[in-house]
Amino acid sequence: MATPSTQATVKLQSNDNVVIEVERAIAERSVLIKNMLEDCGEVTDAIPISNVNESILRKVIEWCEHHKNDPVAAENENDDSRKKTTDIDEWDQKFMNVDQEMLFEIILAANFLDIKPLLDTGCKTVANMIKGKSPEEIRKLFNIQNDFTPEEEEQIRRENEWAEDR
Amino acid sequence: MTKQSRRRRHLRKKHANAGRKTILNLPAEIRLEIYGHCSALSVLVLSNTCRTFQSEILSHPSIYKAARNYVPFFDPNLGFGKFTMGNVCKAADRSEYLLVLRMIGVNYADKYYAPPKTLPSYGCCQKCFEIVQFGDLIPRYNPKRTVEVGERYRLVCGACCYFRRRDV
Repeated sequence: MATPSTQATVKLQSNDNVVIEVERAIAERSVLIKNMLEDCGEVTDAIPISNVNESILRKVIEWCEHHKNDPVAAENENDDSRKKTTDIDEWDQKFMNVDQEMLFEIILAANFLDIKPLLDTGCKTVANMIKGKSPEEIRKLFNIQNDFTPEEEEQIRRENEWAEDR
Repeated sequence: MTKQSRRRRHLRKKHANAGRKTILNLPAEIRLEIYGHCSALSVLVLSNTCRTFQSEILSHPSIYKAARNYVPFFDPNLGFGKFTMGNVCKAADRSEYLLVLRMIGVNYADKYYAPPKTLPSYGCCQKCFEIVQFGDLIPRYNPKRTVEVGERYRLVCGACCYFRRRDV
């Protein structure tokens, strides 16, 4: 029988009361759950994940399953270098190929569950959506209203004309 | 459309978005995380998109100072604490290069390069995507390119014109 430290599976409960059973190793990609399991030892009840609904939770678990063998990055190690690249591997690109709302929900869930690599992948996806777009196109993409006054816009334009000497 | 119906439409739209996740109703910390993955040019464009982005970006100089392709640049006309095109030293890739072209209102990707009527103050090297003063760009003739394939002239910076650099 499973000892407390090698419990094989854990149950996660989404905020719409769906219980999903996953391998412990997969659930432990989430630092939040990992710490919780370390603190509590064996947990037989479902762990409530209060901020995440079923479809998002399944999506996040799908990601964790695919990445369960990735090495866990040491804390704060090369914090800068991971931000310098916008490359996303192919599987992740496909995984993130969802509508905007879903993408933001995944990012929020990753943040809540403390899954740093997933959060990074999500943010990179958004950064890649922004890349190479003009302010007008970004407003259209994210459905944002232009709340600058014409005078402010003129000032922005003038400031960015720029630069006799550099 | 009357003012009233426009208002009603606006409210309906606002209502429809109430429970949905958009970039503006994400927590600010997540948006800061997103800015952290953007290049300097993207951050600059974002700060010109709406007030929320602008105030968040300009009140956290560490965001744009840590961004890729940021260079410190002091413009005596604007004073300290400004983040403008002068702080961007390079376009990250072709999509950003095309954006720079659109921003300065030049299309020298035409069949034949024709200088614009009023010269913009900066331009983008077509080879290494470095952003330099427009006057420093040199049209370089490439007879191998046919007109159908693209432009025969490429506007490149001095370094790309005179030295064959391996790294670009």
